[in-house]
Amino acid sequence: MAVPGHALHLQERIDRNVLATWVSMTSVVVLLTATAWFLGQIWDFGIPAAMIGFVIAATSSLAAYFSGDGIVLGLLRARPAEPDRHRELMNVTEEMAIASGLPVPRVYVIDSPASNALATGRDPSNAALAVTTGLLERLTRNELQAVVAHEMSHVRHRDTLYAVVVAVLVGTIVTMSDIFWHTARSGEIRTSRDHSDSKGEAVILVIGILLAVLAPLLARIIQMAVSRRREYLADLGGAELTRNPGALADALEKIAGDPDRFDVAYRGVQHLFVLNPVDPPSSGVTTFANLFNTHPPLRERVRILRGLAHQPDGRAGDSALPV
Amino acid sequence: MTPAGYLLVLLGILALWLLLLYNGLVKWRNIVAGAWAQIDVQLKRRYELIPNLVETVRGYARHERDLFEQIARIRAAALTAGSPRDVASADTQLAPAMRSLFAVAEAYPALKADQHFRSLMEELTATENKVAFARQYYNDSVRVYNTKTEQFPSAVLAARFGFRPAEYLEIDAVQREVQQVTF
Repeated sequence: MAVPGHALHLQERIDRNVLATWVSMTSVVVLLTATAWFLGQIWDFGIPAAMIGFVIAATSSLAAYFSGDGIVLGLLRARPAEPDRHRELMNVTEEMAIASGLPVPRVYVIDSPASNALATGRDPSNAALAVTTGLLERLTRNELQAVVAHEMSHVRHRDTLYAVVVAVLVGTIVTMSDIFWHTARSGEIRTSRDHSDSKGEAVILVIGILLAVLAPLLARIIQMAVSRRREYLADLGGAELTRNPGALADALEKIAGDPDRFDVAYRGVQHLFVLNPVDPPSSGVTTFANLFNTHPPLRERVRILRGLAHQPDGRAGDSALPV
Repeated sequence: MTPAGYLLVLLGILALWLLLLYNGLVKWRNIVAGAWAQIDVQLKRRYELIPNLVETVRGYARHERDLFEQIARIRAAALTAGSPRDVASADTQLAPAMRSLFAVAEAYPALKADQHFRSLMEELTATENKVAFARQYYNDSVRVYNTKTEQFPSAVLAARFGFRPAEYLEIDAVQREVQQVTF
């Protein structure tokens, strides 16, 4: 129900996402600077490594914030939808913008036989959503509307801001760690302070390696954990916009049953999609495997949506969520 | 700090809080007004589409004259409707007539295959949906705004500064079906 508290809950969710974005941007900058400092201790660059780390992290944070949507859309080779050919897509997008009281986002199409969709952009005025041509072919009008509604909910909750920043930052961390391992393996590591303090050196070396190993892993777990609850909430938000939760359940099942995998999608942006394009959705509930999945188990999402379909106005509060 | 100083700080906080409450009321009143304007825009678009659609169907189904005239009449009435209640009542009459029109279209396979008709149907479906979603958003906004005007403490401010509760736009169950028509 749009109970009095509803607008407040929404605002809280938005505030939390904006805060989470700043916190993760700051912690990535700190993490990268620290990692670079440790690497500088064990591997002599000749220039202050911490400074390089800071500059790289700060630059990628700012780039993520201001042009993350462009980076993501470019990576996926999305092109703007055409008013004539993609009339239905543009219409359902307008419908969902009206239903959520937000500006109409930019609409993009990705040439791929796979079925998937994503939203991006730092705020509703800069939002964009993209769907694959495969999705357009397979879904009915109502199902397409449901998928667009799910994406509009991400925009409405400011998940898109958080998601795109996380995408770029995780990409940076993983790349930096790759560079480190590549260099380490080719045996270029040498100590900067020869023979002076071998004990302290060893400690620093161990911490440095730990950071380099843990950083990408940690980044990925954060990326997964935060995004799963958002998916449930976007499903509910989408159902609230369309008042037709069954259509999203149908669409999810169709997308999951699709044998075509999305080949352009790479790991850094997997959490942006309506259904995870990299790891096939696990249909059962297996706790450990789910730790590394950005999306909740499909069966669970469909079960919740089908449950909503039997309620008079197709809505529910957060209470319908599994904890 | 002196007792007077504490009192001053307390008064300052109180004033700030009242200001926020007042601004919340203004914000939601504007959202409601904006939502209403959106319904208006979408209804006008829909009424513009209707003659176009009727013309196309007429080309295939000449003997459904009564239906076409009925639709034209309701449409004319709907165009002059102003208050939420008038709009709702015009809408209630239009819905069954439009349903009959869709039913007529169903009976003519040649019409259903017509490219122009199909794109018109997509536009009409979209417009019907936009009307329905604009109304849904309007009602959701009215619910939040009205609650603010009725709930203490903002109700006190609302009464003092003349924030009146807004009128809901009622939807009857039949119309939801029309909205779900897809070709």
